[in-house]
Amino acid sequence: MKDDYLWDGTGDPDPEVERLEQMLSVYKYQPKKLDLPARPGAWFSPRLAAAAALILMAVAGLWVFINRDNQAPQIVATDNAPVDSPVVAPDAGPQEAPPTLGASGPNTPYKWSVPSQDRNRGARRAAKRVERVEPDTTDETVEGLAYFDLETAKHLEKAQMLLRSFKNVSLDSNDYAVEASYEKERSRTILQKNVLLRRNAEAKGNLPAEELLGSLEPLLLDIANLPEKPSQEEVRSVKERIQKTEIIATLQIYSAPIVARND
Amino acid sequence: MSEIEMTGELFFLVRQDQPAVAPPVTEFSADALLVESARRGDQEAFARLYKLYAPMVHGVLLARVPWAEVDDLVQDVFLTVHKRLETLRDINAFGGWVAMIARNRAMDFHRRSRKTEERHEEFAEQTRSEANADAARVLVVIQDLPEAYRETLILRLVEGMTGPEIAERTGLTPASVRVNLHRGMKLLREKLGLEAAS
Repeated sequence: MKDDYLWDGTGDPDPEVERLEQMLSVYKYQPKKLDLPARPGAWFSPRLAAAAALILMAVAGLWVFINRDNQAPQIVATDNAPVDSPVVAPDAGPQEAPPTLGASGPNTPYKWSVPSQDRNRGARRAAKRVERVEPDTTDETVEGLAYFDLETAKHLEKAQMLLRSFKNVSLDSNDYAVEASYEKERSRTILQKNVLLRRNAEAKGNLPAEELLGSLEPLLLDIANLPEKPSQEEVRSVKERIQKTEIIATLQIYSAPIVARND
Repeated sequence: MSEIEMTGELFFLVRQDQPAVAPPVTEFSADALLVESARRGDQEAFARLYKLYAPMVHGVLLARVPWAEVDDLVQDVFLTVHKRLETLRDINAFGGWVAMIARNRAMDFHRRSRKTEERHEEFAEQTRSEANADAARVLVVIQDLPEAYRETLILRLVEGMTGPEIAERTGLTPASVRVNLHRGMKLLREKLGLEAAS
C-alpha cells in the first residue's frame, strides 16, 4: 500500500512522496558541532559532598560505638528513669544474683544489682546510681542505619555484589573485547530499582538514603551503558572509579547489619 | 512495605491501612539512560543525544520558522536543553520535552520579530533564492498547513524519518503520527494540485 510507504518507507513506493522527498532534501538537517558551556558540578556536587560527609559520620559512629564497649560508663539514674534503664548500685558490696529487668524482653542488655538495704524498698526506688553491665550490641543502632529499610538494604547488597563482580572481571586475556554482558544486564536491572528507591527516598525527604543511592547511580549507569563488547580500557576506567569511590565498603556497611538482622 | 506507590512520575501517598500495591518497574529506554548520564555531567552522553535528536528539532523548527534561521535556533534549543536538563522529571519523556522546547523557541522567535514583518519577507526571499525554487515553494505550502500536519510532514519528507521514528522522537503516539501524515499528505496534494493517491 502507498500509505505504508508514507508511514515507514515499506511497501510500494509512492512516486509523489518520493519526488517530494528528493526535492525537499535540500532542507535536510546537516550535522553541526554543538559548543556547550561546561556544566558546573559535573562531578563535584553538593550531593556527593553530603554523601562523603555521611560516610565519615558513619565511620565516626562506628568508632565511637566500638570504643564505648571498653569504657563502662557511669550513668546517674533519676527517679523518673525509664523502666528499662540499666541500673546497678554503686556500693561495691557483695552482690547477689541480680534480677534481670524482664520488661524489655530477652534482649535486654543490662542487669540490675542493688545494695541489700535498698532492696527492701523496692528495686526501682532504691537504685539511684547505675552502671552499665555487658551491653548487648544486637539492639544497638549504628548511626545512619535507621535511614535504610530492608528493601533498600537488600538493594544495596545486590549492588555491592554486582560491583564486586564487575571488579573481578578479568582483563588478563589478550582479547580486545571484554565479556561483561552479565554485569551490564544486571546493572540495568539494579539501576531501574535504584532510580525508584532514590526517588522514593527523595519523596520521603530521606536525604542520607537519597545521597547514597545517588552516588551509586553513576557507576551503575557506566556499567549499563557499556557497549556490547567493551574494550579493556573502558572496563578498567569503570573499575578505577569504583575503586576510587570506595563505595563497595560503604554499601556493605549499610546493608549487611540490616539484612542480617532481618534474616 | 513501601508506603509510596509510584505511577510513572507521580507519587501517591498510600495510607498504611490500605492494601499496598507493588510499584511497577519502570522500563528505561537506551535514550533514557543517556539522558540520566547527561544529567550527571557526561558530555559524551549529551553529544549522543544531540546527534540523535537534532534532526527532529531541526524539523520542528523548520515547520515554523524561515529556513535561514533554523540552524541557529537548533543550537539555541540544545543550549536550553543542556541548561535545564536537571528539571526534566521523566527521563523517558525526553523527546517530547525537547520538541516542546523547540516549539516554544519558534514561538519566541516570532514574538520577538513581530514588529519587523519585513524581515520575514527577506527570509522567505533568501530561502527561495538559495535553494531550489520548487523546493522553496513546496516548503512554503507545507509551512502554511495546520501545525500538527506540517511538523509531521517535514519530519517525514525533509528529515527522512519514518513514522515510528517520528513518534519515538517527538513523544507522540504512533497512531497520531500516522493520522497526521495521512491527512497532511492529502491536504498537501490538494494545495499543490497533485492527484490524490489512491
